[in-house]
Amino acid sequence: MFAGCKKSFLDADIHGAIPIDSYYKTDEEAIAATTSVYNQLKLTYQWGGPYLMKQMLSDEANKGGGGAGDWPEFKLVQTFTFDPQNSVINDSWNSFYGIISRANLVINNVQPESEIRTRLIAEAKILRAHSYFELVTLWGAVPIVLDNLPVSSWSDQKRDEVVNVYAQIEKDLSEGLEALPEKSTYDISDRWRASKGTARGLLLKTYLFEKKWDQAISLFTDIESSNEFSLEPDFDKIFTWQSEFGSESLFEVQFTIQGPVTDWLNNNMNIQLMAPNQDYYTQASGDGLKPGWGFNIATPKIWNAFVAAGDSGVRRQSTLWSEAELEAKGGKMDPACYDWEGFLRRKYGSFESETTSDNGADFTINYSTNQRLLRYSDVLLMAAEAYYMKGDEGNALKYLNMVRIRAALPDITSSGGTVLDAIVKERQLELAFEGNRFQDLVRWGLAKQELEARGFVIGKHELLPIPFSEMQIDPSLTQNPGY
Amino acid sequence: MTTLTPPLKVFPDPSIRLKSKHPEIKRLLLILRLSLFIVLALTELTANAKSQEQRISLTEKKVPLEKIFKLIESKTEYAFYYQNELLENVPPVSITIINALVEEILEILFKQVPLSYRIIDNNIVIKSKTDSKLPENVRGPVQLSGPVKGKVVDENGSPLEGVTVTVFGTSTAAKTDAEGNYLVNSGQADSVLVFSFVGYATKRVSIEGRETINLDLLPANGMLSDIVVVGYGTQKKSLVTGAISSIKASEFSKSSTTSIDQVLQGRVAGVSVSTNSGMPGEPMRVRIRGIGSNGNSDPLYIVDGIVVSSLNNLDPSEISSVEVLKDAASAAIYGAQGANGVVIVSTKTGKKGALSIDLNTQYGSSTLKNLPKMMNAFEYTSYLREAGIPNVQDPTTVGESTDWIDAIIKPAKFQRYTMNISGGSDKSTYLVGGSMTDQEGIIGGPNAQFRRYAFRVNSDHTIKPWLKIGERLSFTNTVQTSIPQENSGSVVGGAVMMDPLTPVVYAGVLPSNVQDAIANGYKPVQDDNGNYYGIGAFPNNEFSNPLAVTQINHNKNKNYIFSGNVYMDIEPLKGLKFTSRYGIELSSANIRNWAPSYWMGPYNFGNTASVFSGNNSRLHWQWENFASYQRSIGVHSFSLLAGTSAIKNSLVTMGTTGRGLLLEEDQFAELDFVSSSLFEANGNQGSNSLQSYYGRLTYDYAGKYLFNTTIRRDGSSVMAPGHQWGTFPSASVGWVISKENFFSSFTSVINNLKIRGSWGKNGSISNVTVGAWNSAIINGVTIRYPVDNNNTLLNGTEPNNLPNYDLKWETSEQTDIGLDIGLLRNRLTLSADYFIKLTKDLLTPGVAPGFTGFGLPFINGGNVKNSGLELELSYRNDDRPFKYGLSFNIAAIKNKVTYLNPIYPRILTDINRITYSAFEKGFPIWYFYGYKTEGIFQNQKQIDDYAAKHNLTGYNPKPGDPIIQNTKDDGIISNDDMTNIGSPYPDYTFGTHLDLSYKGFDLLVFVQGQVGNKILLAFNRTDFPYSNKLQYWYTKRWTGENSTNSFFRADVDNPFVYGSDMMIFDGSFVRVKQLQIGYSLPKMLTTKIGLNNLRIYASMDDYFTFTKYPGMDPEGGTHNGQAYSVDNMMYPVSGRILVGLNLKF
Repeated sequence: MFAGCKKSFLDADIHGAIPIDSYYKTDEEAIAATTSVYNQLKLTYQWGGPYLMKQMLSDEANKGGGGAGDWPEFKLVQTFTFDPQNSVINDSWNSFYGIISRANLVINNVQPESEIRTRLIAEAKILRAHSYFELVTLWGAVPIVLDNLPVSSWSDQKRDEVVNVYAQIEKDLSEGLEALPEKSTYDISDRWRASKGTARGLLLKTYLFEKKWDQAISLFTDIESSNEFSLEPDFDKIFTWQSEFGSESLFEVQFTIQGPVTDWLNNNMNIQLMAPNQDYYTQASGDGLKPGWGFNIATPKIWNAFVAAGDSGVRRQSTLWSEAELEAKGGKMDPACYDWEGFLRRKYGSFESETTSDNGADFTINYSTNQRLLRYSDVLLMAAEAYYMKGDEGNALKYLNMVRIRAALPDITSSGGTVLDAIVKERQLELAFEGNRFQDLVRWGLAKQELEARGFVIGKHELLPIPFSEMQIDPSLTQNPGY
Repeated sequence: MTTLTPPLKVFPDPSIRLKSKHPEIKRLLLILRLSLFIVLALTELTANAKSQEQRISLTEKKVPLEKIFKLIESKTEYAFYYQNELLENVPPVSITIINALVEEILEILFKQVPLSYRIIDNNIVIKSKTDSKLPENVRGPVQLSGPVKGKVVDENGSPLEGVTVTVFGTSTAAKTDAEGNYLVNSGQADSVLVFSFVGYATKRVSIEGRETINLDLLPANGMLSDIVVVGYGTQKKSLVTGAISSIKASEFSKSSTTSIDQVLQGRVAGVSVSTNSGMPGEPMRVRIRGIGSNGNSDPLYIVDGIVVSSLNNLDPSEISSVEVLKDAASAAIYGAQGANGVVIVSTKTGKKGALSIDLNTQYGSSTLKNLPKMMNAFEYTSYLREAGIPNVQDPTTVGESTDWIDAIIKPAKFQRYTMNISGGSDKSTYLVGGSMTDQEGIIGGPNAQFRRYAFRVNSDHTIKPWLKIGERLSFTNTVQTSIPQENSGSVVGGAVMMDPLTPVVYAGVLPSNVQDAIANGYKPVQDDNGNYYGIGAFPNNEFSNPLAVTQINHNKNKNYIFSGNVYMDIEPLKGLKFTSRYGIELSSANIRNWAPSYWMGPYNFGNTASVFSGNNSRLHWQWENFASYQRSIGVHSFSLLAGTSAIKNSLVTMGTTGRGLLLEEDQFAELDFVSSSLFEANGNQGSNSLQSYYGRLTYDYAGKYLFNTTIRRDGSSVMAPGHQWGTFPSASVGWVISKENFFSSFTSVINNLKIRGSWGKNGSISNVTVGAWNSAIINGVTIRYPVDNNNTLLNGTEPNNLPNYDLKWETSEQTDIGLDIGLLRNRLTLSADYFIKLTKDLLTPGVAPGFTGFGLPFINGGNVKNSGLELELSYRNDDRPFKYGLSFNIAAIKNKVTYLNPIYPRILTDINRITYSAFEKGFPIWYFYGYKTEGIFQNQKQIDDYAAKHNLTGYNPKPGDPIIQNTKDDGIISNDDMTNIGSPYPDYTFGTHLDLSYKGFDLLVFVQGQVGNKILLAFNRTDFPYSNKLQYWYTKRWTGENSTNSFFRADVDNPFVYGSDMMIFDGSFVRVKQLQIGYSLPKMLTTKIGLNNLRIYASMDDYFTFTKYPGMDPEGGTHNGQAYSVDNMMYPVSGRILVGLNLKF
């Protein structure tokens, strides 16, 4: 009886979905597709994620939170007792490949037929390169996936050698660099996009990790001569919303205060997650640091590093407080707070000025603080390191001291091995709680020395385990040693 | 008519034969034949062979004639009637004949004896050769002296019209009139009256000199005479070859249940009905023969031939029968929709005869009997202190304890009224019904209330002898209010989590934090008397004072459902029938939720009121056209069915949220009165369609060898092109052993013995959404990127998921072997089934490698095997004034994943961020996955020894902590040591009913239970150390060396403890579902006041539960597709005491 209309009767009625083949054609479609790559970047850094995971791998932070049972997988990361089934490690892996796959769609499907589309492809390449950089530095050899994979090929994706992964990163960054505009030429509403500066900064970092000092220096020279970047004069302003995409910012993830939309996907949930534990914390009078869920608590070690470096000024105070300082200002932290060791982290702090309860929003989960992925002081310290490695102590000290001056610390004037020590120390302090420490320590070969007390095993924990689920689906993958 | 048993044969009591002095029974037989014809008319799929053409074989030497009679009776539908004296001097007979007609056999036999016979339909009357004349004209009853009168009513007390009252052994007979009255001339004071009526058990009553004999007829309960509803028709139970359980209205008419799924609970072996949530109006979870699917494993619900989304819109008073098609062969006629079993509901229709009015009222009160015990203030503070949690008050200084569970539970009223008016003429019958159910929640009261107003009109009209039309129409309006349940922010969650130190409401001066909040313009929640609700001593943003949460939640869902069908039956030739049926289910749900601005503590407040208003409209239409043909040739009976079906479902949703209200009151909670100009709106629409062709062939040989085969081909718009069509065949066979020659010597004990076997294949796509196989570009709120700090968002687009072009139907293949036995004149019946159900290509959540970057919604992940044994046993005795029935059913079902796509060796799910269940080959589907413990470390030395032995890292126990098994034996206690720590499925489930009645009093006891299932107590929040715990935690805790080896020390957050088998509890329970006592006024009295029946009763429902489970409710629990029996603070099942009144006019 439906012979005449058989075909139409079983036609699927799907609203709001566009066939992939017909997409990626116009500028608007290319913009929207690239927005999805940035969205994935945002989600990656919004909630737990690789940032918190890397903090746990460092010597800067304890897990904290409501107790041992509150997100226990992070504790396993902190104590180096994770295994290939650890969900927070696996989530990070998935997040980076999530960025890569969305970037692949833009890079492979958008045709560079207009200026804007050419630029968008370049932006996607930068985000892809960032993801591969994190993957190669945390997991070592990883599969280079540059296309959307059919099911039939899932089981034969092999891990590509580290050198090849780096080559891919260099290629993406170089191509991106070519096509991207300088940050200053972006419209104000587009300033969150990857720029030439982003590409150069990430490429510099890549070369540094590859120990390609010449190329690193060359990239730095380009950054410096572009006159796009300078240090924010006041250290305590770097992580506030006023300085978002400011002079010091090369790469940053945008978060916003939520409007009437009740989703909480666009604010920085990590800030509330990492705010001092509400059950134990009393705010200091006149201080804006609000209570929250208590993750990412500062360790005595990072405090001691500041003390040892004689840094007690604005940089240290914007990075962490001691219990005594908190109490002196009328605040209090009950020492029974889980994982509390007497130090209050303030970088990426839960400041009242970064949130609002307007429009019916819940201010506790409404922090707009952007995640800074690459700032100019990091670039300067990387440059210092590269110059030092090339034997150019003069330039090494020059850029090192630029960072120290802002921190109101005296110039380093020594030479020889102590210069490298000073750079290492400066990175630890300047970039504390920014999620760089673990990769730096591994790169420097200092991981055993600095992390053994936390459970780090040399020859094993330099690399994270390949997720159990990946290995199961893809038997062509091999596991990292020790897991 | 080989397929029907003459009612007389139901009671083949030989003593009757002695009393028959007047073998003039033709008239009776004619009436019987008429009755049988009516039955046949109802059974469109019944084979229709002429008994005269039934062929049998016999080989007997020198046996009494009576034995031959019995053999013939056992193998055919024939019955012999004679006076015993007649056979006394008859010589033995011999016969050897193969494949002969009964007439041929009789011919041979009666040459050997001085007797004659006469065949009248299926009856063979034996006479002496000298008295061979039967009156040919039996139209007029033979006048005899001594009339007997009386009234015949049905099981409900309604008059039965058309009951045949025969003086046994004579042709004297009468019929009851519309009032059920009869008058018959009995002839002799010691005559026996036989009362027979189609569908009812025939009764015989010895007159014993009486002039008035009133009696009630009960529906036939012997399995032989039952008619069961199967897909697209009906079938005699004696011919059924599948596993079908049938529940008639008479079985639940006394029950006080408010929904059909409750009716199913505990009554059918292999059908598990459990509560998802005890909140009024929430549907139950019905699982037929285990869990064969992820996500939705709900059976297909068919009401009067039309697929419906839920049975919640029907009142049980509307129902005449519920059939559960359990095996694949029975369900295979529903093809792609039948993999989880089929529940067929038939609604009541009018009966020919006088107007009948049926009224029921129920009024009762619900309460919670099994309250979980939480720690009191002393225990709570002691426990937290022992666990090392700071800032906890000295236990010796605590004041009054607040029992939050007690505080949220209030007795709630329940009322239900139903009315059915029915009647009909020769041409038309009708039923008009209405019902009202009003149930308040024991938690939340009017904020968790369910009201249902249901109306029904059913009628059938015979327009021409070959044309019948009719309709089944219902309109239902449900109004449901609800409170947040399950997990975060829920009312029950708040009651469980809140510390016992905080008062429900503050008395006297408010604490400073509340005063500060008021001073800062916040609105702490007040009760109706203006008292401020207590704010937790350790507030957090996920759990708050449950009464305050109840107070601010105003969620109302008004649903209007119009459903039903119109049909037309055309019978152009005898045996050939075309049916066309068009049905719809149209529903429109209005949802309005609003909350005022509130303050429930520093981490849980809303500055602005909000209101959500939305509407979901759903239309399901279904058009079925099928033809059936029945024919009998000799002993061969067959029927054929062929048909097509088209189904389309469409859904339109829209909803809008606005903020800020002119006044924060209910009448201002509309979008028109919202103060903010910012609205959030959503809306969508979609549809799916299913096109099907189906056919069935049934065949039986002399009602003895049964064969049935079906095939269905379904096409669905949900699947990818190329995978849209699926074919689902089935076949089943039956052998009625009790009809075999060799069995004849047992038939006096075993009246019925049938073995059945079936195999079939069904499909399921209920968990797949349209286009899920495809990868297409979408946008949405989750794909946005902020371009500034003012919430200006840029829209992104990306593929919704990875494509899976190979996504195919989930198919279940099931083999069933069954046995039906009837003993003691079928008073004792037993059905047993063993089945193996293999679900292949199970649709599981897809797991794609992370390096693909996208999710995969569905994959054909693996195979699951459910196998089990089901037993249903029932005994019924209605012959004496003391009537009783006892039935018992039990099922043991095993569940195992037999194959998992090697790409996905283990699929995990988590709850509260702790992994809890897994899907893996060799284990039950979604078994509990966690750390296995081996007792408790009693002292440090044990720990040291253990650590030394295992080179233990990753876990730093203290005395009192559990010994975690290092299952991987790699020296590290970590995630990969998690293993199988229990199955959520019971070893067996059972239900038992007992009903007794004596002189107007009746008693009903219904008990249901299950044994061996494990429950995961998942509501502890390790991330909130101050949340309260079960008192069990306190009383069973380890308090020092050798205090206990089974439960851990005071500890609120150790992930190894809370992720271990210490959270797994035995969920076995026995629940008295119903305990009811009723009294019916004697007929003499009711008749005087113009009633046919008046019954009052009192009932306790779900009142007594016996369980060791310390949590909320052993029946409750989260049952999402990937987690079963996870206790996550669902709304518990309430017990109820009620009184009721049944009236019949």
